[in-house]
Amino acid sequence: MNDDDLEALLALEMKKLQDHFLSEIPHRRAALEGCWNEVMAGGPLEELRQQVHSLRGTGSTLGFVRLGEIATPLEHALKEDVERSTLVVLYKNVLEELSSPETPKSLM
Amino acid sequence: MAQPLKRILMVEDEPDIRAVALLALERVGGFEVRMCENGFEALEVAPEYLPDLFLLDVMMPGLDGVSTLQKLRLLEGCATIPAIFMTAKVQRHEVEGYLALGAIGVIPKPFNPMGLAGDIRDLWNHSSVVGETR
Repeated sequence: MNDDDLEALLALEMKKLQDHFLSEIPHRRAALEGCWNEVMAGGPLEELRQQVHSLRGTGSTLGFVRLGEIATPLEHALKEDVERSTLVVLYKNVLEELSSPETPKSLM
Repeated sequence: MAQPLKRILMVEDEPDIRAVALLALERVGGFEVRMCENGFEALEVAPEYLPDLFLLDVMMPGLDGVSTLQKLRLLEGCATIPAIFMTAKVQRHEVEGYLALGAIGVIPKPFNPMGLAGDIRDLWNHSSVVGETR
């Protein structure tokens, strides 16, 4: 396989991973909402933290730059003692981003 | 390091990140990779696989990257295998903390898939002493 073929193949594989992530976003959004509602009802933070960490880490790795940027402050806020009103704003930003996700940047 | 880097054992809990990293390390880098989903799997696999390098995600549920490395160090044949952490937490004091644990370096997340293999080779080639910073 020459370099051009390898690059074309890689581009295709990377695109597939991005498409797969995009297709799972509605599911991730629903899962995030579920965790959030549990926390608001007095449940533990851990699951929500894990969800946001996963969204931020996977999203940014797959080229969803804006999602990474928007999820980062929420991830940090969930580790600190912040006002609930601040948390709500950060959470809503993420939820909104998941409702209309960006076109990811190329990974090549 | 004197010998060339060939075999990598990577620990990463996110399936999509594992998939991108596999492309980056195997297809782009030409390495042989054994991928583990969590620290416990790595502890089972490592003594048999005996890689040239451990590549560890830091924040993982169950056993985080730091605890995984500390436990790996106790296993036969694994005490001196070089390790690199991958993390978004790359402030100076955080990186110094990883190096103090004996890591040869840190790869910031999100990593560039096309550049990951080269970055790892650079860390490998420049770490004549484990823990030395570049």
